[in-house]
Amino acid sequence: MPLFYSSLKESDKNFTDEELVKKTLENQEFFVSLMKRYEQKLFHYILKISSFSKEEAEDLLQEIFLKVYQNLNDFDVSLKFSSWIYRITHNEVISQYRKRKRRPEGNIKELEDFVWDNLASSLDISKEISRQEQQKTIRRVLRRMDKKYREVLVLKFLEEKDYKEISDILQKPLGTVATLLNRAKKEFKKLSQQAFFEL
Amino acid sequence: MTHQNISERVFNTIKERGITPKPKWQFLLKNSLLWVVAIGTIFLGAISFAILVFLFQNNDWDFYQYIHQHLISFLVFSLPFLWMGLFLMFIFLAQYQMKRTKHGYRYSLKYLFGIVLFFTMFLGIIFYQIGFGQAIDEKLASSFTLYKEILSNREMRWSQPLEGLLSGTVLSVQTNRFELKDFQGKTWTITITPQTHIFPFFHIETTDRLRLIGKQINVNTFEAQRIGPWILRKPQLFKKFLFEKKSE
Repeated sequence: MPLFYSSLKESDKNFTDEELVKKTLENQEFFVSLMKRYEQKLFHYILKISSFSKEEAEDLLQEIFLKVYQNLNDFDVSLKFSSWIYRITHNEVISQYRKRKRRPEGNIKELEDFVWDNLASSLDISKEISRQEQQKTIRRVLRRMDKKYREVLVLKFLEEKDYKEISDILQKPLGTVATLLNRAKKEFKKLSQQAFFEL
Repeated sequence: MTHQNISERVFNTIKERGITPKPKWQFLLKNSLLWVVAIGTIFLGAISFAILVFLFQNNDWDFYQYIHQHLISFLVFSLPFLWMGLFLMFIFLAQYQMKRTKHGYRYSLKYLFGIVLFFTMFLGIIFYQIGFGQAIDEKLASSFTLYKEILSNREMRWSQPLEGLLSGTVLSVQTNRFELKDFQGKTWTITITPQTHIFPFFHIETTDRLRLIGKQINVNTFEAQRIGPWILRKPQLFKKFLFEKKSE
């Protein structure tokens, strides 16, 4: 890795995503810093909304970053950069599934405890079962859910995006996002009650 | 390969292949084209609406009972379904195009439909007021036989003297009679009786185009029972300058 890249890394932390985009368009070295910020998040996001293996997810992530780089001049400054890159990631996952003619089922593995707690609380999972059983229930239910409900739940509770960000990522009106989330929660509650009895 | 190496791998690929960001003008062009198509579709929808309004207004509602026995059959045979279909098609197309613009996703389909409908009808009313609707309808009728005979068959409908329906252009006016040239080029003498009902506030003048309900007396004479203008409004500015034929 060139020296210039190493010296960039520390100072890059002070730049916002949007500033890094501008700098990348002047000097491509800055793109590495941008990728570093998002590679872990997007890697796990791909796993959460798809049933790709880790290797497939990595390959896809590379394609996504290349696409992001080529389309940097199309970045809409009225959006957050994170919303834009998540949008590209989401669309590429769907596109891959269309090519393979499969349904994305989601594959949530390890998450921090506080994320599970947040999810369980928000989706009204019974507090009387153990955390391990909660996680099992959530994983099972999310896999069974309709894609359109699963993707909003993942973005809201696992990626902690707000309504505007979800709207920008999924390219749906705010009202539709609110309706989808509402229905998703109801659907989740219904399925989780069924799943609880299967435990 | 761990995902921590992805950034370096991608960067090396960018360097090796000489990949560069696509130029901004490509995205500007693509986004502009979307808007051009959307606005163009609204424009076409507005023209359809102008023609619709014109045809609706001159659909012989005042004389329908003399043309058809039932309102339903009259509606089925006289309504401009082609233009209604085209109008709706352009509305939905424009809405689809607007949804695909950069920020179109932020608006619900209902909202976009409402916006498109509003602007199409607003522009359509303007086109209608300046005579665009009438001009295009008549231009299509004079240029395409299919349009005239099947889709805009009003002239044919009003060219059945044996059935008591006649139409044409006034050549000269005398007391209680006038000369009329029908749309097939034949000259008629139209007689007016005290029972003849003339459209309110309408004065028969040379070059007026008329519709008549009455009775054919002989080969060249027609006794009018009801007389009305061919178009409920006089030709508008646009038609006057673009489509008015030179006098022979």
